[in-house]
Amino acid sequence: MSDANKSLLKVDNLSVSFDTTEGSFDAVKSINFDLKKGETLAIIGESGSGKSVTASVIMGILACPPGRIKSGEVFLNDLNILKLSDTERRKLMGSKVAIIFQDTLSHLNPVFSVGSQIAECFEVHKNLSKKESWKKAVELLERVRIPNPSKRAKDFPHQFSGGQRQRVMIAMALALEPDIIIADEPTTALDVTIQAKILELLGELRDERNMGLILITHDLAIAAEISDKVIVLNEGKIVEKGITNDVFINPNHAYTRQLMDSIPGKLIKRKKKISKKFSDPILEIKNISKFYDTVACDNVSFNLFPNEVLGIVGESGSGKTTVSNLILRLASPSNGEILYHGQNILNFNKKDLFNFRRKVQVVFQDPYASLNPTMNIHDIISEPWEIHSDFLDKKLYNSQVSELLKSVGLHPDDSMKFPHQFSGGQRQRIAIARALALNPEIIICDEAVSALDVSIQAQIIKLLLNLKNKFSFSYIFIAHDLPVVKDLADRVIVMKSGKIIEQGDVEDVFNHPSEKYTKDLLRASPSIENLIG
Amino acid sequence: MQLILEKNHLVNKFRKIFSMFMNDKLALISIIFLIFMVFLAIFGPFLISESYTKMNLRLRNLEPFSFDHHFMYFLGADALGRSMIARLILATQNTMFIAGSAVILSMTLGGVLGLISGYYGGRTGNLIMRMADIIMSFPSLLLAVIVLYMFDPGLLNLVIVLAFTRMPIYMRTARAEVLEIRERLFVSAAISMGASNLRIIFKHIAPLTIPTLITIATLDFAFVMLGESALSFLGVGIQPPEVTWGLMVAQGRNYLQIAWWLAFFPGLIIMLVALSLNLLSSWLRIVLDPRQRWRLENIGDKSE
Repeated sequence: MSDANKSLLKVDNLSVSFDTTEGSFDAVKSINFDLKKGETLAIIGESGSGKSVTASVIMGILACPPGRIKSGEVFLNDLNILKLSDTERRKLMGSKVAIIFQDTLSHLNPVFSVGSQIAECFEVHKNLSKKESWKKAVELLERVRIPNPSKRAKDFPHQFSGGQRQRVMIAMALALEPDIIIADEPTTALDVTIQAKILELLGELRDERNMGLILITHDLAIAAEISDKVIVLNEGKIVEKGITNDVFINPNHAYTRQLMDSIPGKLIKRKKKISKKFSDPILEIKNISKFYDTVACDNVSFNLFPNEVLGIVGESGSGKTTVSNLILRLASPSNGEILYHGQNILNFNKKDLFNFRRKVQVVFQDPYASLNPTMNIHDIISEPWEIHSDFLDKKLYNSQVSELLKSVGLHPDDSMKFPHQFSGGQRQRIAIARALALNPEIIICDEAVSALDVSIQAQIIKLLLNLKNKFSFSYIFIAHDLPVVKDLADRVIVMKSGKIIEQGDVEDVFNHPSEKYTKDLLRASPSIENLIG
Repeated sequence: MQLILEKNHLVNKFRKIFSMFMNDKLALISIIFLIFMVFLAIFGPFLISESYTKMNLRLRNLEPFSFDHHFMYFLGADALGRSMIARLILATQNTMFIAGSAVILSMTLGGVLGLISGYYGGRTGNLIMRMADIIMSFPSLLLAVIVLYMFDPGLLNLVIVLAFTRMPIYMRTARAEVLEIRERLFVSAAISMGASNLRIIFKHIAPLTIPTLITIATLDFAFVMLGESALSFLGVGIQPPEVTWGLMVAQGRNYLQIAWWLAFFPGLIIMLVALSLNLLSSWLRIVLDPRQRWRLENIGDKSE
């Protein structure tokens, strides 16, 4: 067996279960895979599929109890790491296998400079002097392309942007020259252009050091972009495994196909043009600006017409949420006016504003935070009617809540439950039901599907479209994810650093972008079509 | 029909609460003890009639745990030969009333002021917080002595003074909690629905601060009992022959060398009441939180 073909890591028939109060729960069910040098393996699965548990076992950081390895073996260079004692394993793990997490802020120590955190690895594991360690740390920061590394090494984690922090994490993982790097959702929290650069860096380092890379992700497009092999996990089982191209071009298992179909950007566009000449805009945004310490939103103007979906895309800090807050009057603009049916909402008195709020509803990004945890679903959905007490007779609350729950695909019996008893997707449905309660004219969706798994995301988008056809209102759909906007929107606005860069019909902007920034965005966003061709 | 349904609903609710007590034995014991204390506070004075003032100088500083005398002297007698049991029972009413009303009053007022200060911020908020600073920086005992000297040192004034001096903790805690909760998304959601300020404060923010405030209040209960004893000791609180547990501790202190039971028993009761309240509050904290409630709800053998 030649060296190149030798497995670096081999996972054989691994099963893991968790002991809970309701009995034992199998998180991982007899999975097998192996990884060779210089190879990238993508583990794809939605939340709860067991992908992170698998990574913890390989890293030896699975909490036991409640976790229990029921069967299986994990070989690292022909050494069965599950048979090692804790001390032996710990020694091996730090230097042979390194992990990069999604949430960089909570995995870096906030009170030490990043340089000293990287240097610590050298001091502890390689007994280098303080000075030498620091020098090596700076070299590593330079390698992961942190600009001005000797100066930045003295900075603290919070002084870096999200993408830079991820680079620091990568530098730290590289410190001991591991054979394998496990990247657990490394780019989920990042903007598309940053994401593309991080993935590029990971690929580069893999080739340069001939490492094995395990990429754990829920995003099929990312897996398609950088991996050689994929395994698809569903409920702890491998449902599909193979060479990346084969799997994506010709998926065998129904679950993989379902995942592929959920990828946004594929819905067949219904061809329809709203004759804008004949309808007046509901909302006219005229030259609004908002200054905090920096410029959050600068001279933004656009219109919203009845029964249309307007997408606003941009990366974090582009001012898209500021625009939504201004329209909702959660903040007041520094300049400009917002006209609702020709009337400036900034001059509204209390009563006018109250009536305006009945007509404009919002669905926020984080369904875990946007529902009051102490109220049950019935109270949450009926709250808008309690506030606008002339809207509905109290006796009709129950039947109307059931009606709304049905229309967002939930069961009427759910109304007595509390938010924590639902999954993320279900909570987002509840938030949508609440937004529908007052029969609004405009619903603002602020990153409403960004926190959800792909297949759930697809369901919610379908639901949003169906509801629009049923009740007829307008959406302002804010997202950083371009394919999602492509699915939903009729018109799209691209924002950058508080300014509108480009706006127009969705087809035009996506197919023939005129601005360089839009082109960059489109190119950076990973897609399977590139691979399939 | 409607009435029967409602009655069933009530019965179900009661059953649910009972089962939640059954799943936390410590809370069950606490609530039984507290109900007993409340019973004593209400009916105690009738039960012991006049025996608490009856002096028997031959029984001065009688030691406890002897059956030689009337059972009322089982826990000994004080320096004037009065029955300890009778005095403890009599003190229950005064103590529970003073500490209970003072704590409830300071929690309600302090909580509401803290909520307002945290929610509105700005000038109103600052004004309220500076008020808390003033109360805290002024020696509370001195304030109490002045107020009670100028006014009649009756029960009601005592309660007001005690409540006033304990208010800042609730104001500060409530404000700190509100500052965090105010920024949560469900509050933004409520604002964009057009909810009024009062609705947001009392429907969305207050329910999340109440568990913390109740926990502080139960801890404060013991503190207020002892604070009251200091005032009574100085002669501006409860006037003899009326008595409270705190006053009994304060008076018993002089005899600690020769008659430990004079201070020990009232001290023990203060501790037990405070402990029960604390256990009950941790039970209540779980009950009030929908995310935690399951811990007490599903009956069965679960190891925790």
